[in-house]
Amino acid sequence: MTDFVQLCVAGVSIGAIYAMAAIGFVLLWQTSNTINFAQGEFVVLPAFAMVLFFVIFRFPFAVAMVATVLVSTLLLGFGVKELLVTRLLKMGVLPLVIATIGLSLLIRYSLQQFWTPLALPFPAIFSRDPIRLGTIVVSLEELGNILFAAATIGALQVFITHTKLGWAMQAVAQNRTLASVLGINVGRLVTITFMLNAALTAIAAILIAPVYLVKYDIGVSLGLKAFYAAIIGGFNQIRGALLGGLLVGVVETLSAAYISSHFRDAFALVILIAVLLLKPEGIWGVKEEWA
Amino acid sequence: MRRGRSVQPLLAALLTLLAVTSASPQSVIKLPIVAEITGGGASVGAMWRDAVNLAVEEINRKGGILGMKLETSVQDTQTDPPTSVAVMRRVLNDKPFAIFGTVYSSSTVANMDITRQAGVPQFTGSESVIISQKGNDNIFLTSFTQDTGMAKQVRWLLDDLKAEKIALVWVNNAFGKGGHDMFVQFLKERGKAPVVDISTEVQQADFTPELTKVRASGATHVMVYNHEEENARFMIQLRKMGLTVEPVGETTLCAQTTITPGGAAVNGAKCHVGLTAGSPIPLMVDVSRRFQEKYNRVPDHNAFKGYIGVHMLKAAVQRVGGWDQAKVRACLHNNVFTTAEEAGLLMDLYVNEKGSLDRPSFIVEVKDQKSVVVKTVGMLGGPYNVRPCK
Repeated sequence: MTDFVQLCVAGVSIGAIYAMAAIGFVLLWQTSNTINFAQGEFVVLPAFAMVLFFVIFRFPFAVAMVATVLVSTLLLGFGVKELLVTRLLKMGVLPLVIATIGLSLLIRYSLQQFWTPLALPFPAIFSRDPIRLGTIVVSLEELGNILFAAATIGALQVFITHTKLGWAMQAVAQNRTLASVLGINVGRLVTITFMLNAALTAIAAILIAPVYLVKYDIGVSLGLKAFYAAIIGGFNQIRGALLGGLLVGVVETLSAAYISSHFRDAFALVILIAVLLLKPEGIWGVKEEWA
Repeated sequence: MRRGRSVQPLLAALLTLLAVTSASPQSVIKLPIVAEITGGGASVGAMWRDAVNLAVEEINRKGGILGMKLETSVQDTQTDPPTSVAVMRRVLNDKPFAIFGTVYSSSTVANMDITRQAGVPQFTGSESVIISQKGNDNIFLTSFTQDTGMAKQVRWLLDDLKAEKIALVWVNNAFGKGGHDMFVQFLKERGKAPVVDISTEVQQADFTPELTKVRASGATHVMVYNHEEENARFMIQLRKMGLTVEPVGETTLCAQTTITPGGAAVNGAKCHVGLTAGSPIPLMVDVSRRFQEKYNRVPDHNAFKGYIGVHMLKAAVQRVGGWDQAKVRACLHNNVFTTAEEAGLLMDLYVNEKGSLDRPSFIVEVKDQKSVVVKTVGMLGGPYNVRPCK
């Protein structure tokens, strides 16, 4: 029982980070019909930025974090939206999907070539000291990750449901044409969504890099897991992405512990296939109606 | 008229020049590096590549080998065995004298037959015992294989550390499987077995399930046999979970490419290693310094392997007295090479009939994020005789 609880905590901790990346997928899909296959690299690049600000420039930790989120928001949010998405979106979904695949390769191999192929250490936000709750041992870092991710997602939810900008984003997600007719600047909303996604992935980077380490290719598996977590939970619901992320994290941890490490990814993929067959909109997703 | 007559001698001279230059013997020796430059093994391949390049540069600066300069090129296998086969085929089209790489055992097992068929000696950074069991007389390891390494490892664990209950955590690929099988075999010869036997995956990020099993087993020591990054993640999580089990390893756990990302979490790990930047041997200290000056990072065992590999070739060519692949290959089997004849070898070594090495090694402990040598271990076998090759 002790082990089971500890494994669940570890699974929820890592799942919360998958959820943050998965929510980014959902936000972009809802507002701009974009599937960003560079989402994993949107986590990797801020991790390297954090190393630059904290380790190389020696900024204080909090300043380095803020700088990382700001730079990520600007480059990966505003920059990618204006330079890539705006130009390609009018051509349809497929060219943009291919472009994001190209972007992910560009980021990944640029980091490998021009920075380093080696894994770098990453400063942990939370202490790694273990906490003993009776016979259960969990780390402060795992609990901290869960709380930090929960706070971030909670803040996002409040933003979307209780602010004018959030209502405008929901309107665009439901019906872009009608939203535009009602005077909502759809282009600006999409830009804001990209920036929001970039901020989310930067926070995910700060949480996950102490575990994954900072390496040019950590985004590959992370992006993939976030993608199918979003599908499992529901690609058009933020709460779906949250559920999907947590489910993937817990399932992979428990299957590795009780069956084998080799089946770590397999069970989550079995769930993905089951969802696609039985409820393709996702567990908490909503069936989309096409005009 | 006059113009036409003056062109003919010039043309004749040009044609003669072309004929002479095309008949001239090749003035460089091609030694391509085939390594893991991208993918999961990028950190390993980068170390190997940089050390081979350092060795070649230094040799060329001193005039080359038997008057011939060496030329390298770098080919990326993407840490993918099928890709390494394709890359090797492409490289062989250029008629190299020898090849340096690959480092990952899974790739070497896949590609070493190609070089054997071409008769091009291959110097590898791989350590899996599977490689030396294939009966391939064209492959030369730059480190001892796991049968030698694990024999020394088990002897140290049981006799020096008095380890009672040993958990075994190993990566599920050719490298990990070879080490696992040897470790279990040598433990069995001493009447012991691992209390828990756990395999992991390459590029695995989370080790909570595996560490939970280690804790549940009641182990006093955990033998950690993953690749370097995975070792770093493993150690970080071991410390996070507050496990009191003592981490021990063979080479990779105490490598600099584990210590750098793992940081203080790796402190306290103890390993048997073949090569280490913390070695007190002056030749190794000097190479480590030169590597750091050139590349601004501490070399790990993969770097030393690459460096030594180039000098193994140099020693053999010099002993043969010529650039003859078959004679160099024959010279490298069942032979001792010493630092007296070739300082770049860094330690005296013996190459056996399978192309594997025997040489002194070290017990290290990681203190303040540095591998500190606590004991030097002699060769496993011997004494060996020097065999002339002319």
